[in-house]
Amino acid sequence: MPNVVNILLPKEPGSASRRFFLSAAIWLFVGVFVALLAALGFVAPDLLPAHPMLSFGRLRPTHINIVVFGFLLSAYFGGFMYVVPKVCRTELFAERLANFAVWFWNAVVLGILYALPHGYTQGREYAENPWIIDIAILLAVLVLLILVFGTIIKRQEKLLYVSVWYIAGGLMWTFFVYAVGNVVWEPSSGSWTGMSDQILLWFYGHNVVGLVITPQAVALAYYILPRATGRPLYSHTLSLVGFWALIVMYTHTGTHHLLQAPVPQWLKVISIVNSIALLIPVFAFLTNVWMTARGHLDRVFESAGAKFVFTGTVWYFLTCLQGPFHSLPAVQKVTHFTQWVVAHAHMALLGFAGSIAIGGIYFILPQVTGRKLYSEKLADYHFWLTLVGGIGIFISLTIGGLLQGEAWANGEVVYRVLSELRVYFIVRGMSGVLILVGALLFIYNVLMTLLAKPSTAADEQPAEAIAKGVTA
Amino acid sequence: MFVSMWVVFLLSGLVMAIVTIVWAIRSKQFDDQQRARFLPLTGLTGRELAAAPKKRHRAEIVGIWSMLIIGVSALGACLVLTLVVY
Repeated sequence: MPNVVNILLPKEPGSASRRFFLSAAIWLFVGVFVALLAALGFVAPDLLPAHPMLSFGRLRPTHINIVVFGFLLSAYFGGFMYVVPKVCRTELFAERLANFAVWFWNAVVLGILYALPHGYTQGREYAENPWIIDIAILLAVLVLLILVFGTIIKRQEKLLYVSVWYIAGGLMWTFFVYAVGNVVWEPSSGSWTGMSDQILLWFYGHNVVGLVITPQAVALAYYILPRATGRPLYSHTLSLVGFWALIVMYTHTGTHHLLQAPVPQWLKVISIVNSIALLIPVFAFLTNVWMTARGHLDRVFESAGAKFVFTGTVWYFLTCLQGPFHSLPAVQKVTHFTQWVVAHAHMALLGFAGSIAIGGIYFILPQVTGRKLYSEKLADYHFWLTLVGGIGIFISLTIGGLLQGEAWANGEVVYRVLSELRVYFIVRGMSGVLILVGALLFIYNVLMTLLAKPSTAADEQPAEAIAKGVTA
Repeated sequence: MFVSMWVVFLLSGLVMAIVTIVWAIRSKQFDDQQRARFLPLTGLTGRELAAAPKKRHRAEIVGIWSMLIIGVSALGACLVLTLVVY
């Protein structure tokens, strides 16, 4: 019996990180596969059987929730379980509890994978998960908060590095944003009614990106890029300015999704002003990491992980350049409801958040296993597949969206525009195939790294040296 | 109900932020920012810090610049369409 406990919930440092990373790689494949099924429907609507589980209305929320909770958050949780102890100069608080979190979190994601395709949904965009899953997610986040704050309390390093601020803050926001946005005190519906509900919903929908995902991604980038370049962070003060600015600016941007709806004007104005003001924390972060990497890009590109992370920051720049402009009513008049918005969402979650999640895994995995990455070459193929696939999705949906917006603004009806979009949907589907192949290579590489035995001299080097390809 | 819930939520966020800032000031989190810059480098040897790259990575630089140009061009096209044409 004790053996079973030790296998399921080991105390070995790094074990929870490793398991979260493997989970993230597998969930990335599942999430992208579901997306590809949905994309196929746009290219060849009759190709898939007319089964309810394969309808767009079920595939889309499944794709989004699996990618967010299965892939992105699993990768970030695995990352923080390594980064927080490292910069706090201590060990993770309660490794067994962290391993419990791995199993519990995967059970939650499996629940999502069962519920949403079977039609068990609360029917609110981005907040579709049934109430029982909402509660399970909140419990899991509480466990993760215990792990982070437990590690912070027993730290040997007095100063908290900016990554720790973002990780701890991000997890607290995750708890409150999720609870409020999903209206968990209304178990039967998970919603209110009318515009009040829509305001809550978009408070959630936008903050999932801004206060749940972004802080964790930024935290990883702040750790990985200085380490990969061997340079100290450009300015820790600037990084903290960005952190506090994010708190002030981000909370009330969600209503910019409702500019054409009967929301109080003052709330619309706040959401637009805050959306533009978001450029402050965004550029505080970008200036900081780019100035850190300045003159050392070749060292960044030497490591598969750091390469993904740096690319993620460039996607972040593009995402956040677009975002504030979207909040302008004059721009939304054309882009709202079009494929342009879908392109923007993929730039944010696949380009920015996804690249940093993948990069974090590639960078930290050798450090938590004490082994070299199984294949830098496969990781390199993965990088190019993801970059080309991401650009393909972005270009095709952007052009398609502008065509839609322009046609609708001229009074054209929806179905007559669809035929013009077909070629862009085909390109989007083909780009998705590239990303799916990359995800397969990713699983293989992660799995082989985990299964490899540390037998050579190289494998016995300090893990951080291995991660950067430096031999002793 | 909506407004009261929202006000309570906002105030609780504000209180938590103020408490955190007060704690950070009292525990001197903002005092030694110069040393904080070096925290992610903990454990790296001098040799690792000074390691030279093995090769130039032009392909990656071209790839990322292409992405940047495409992204900025897309935004430019959108702004022309939305703010100038319509």
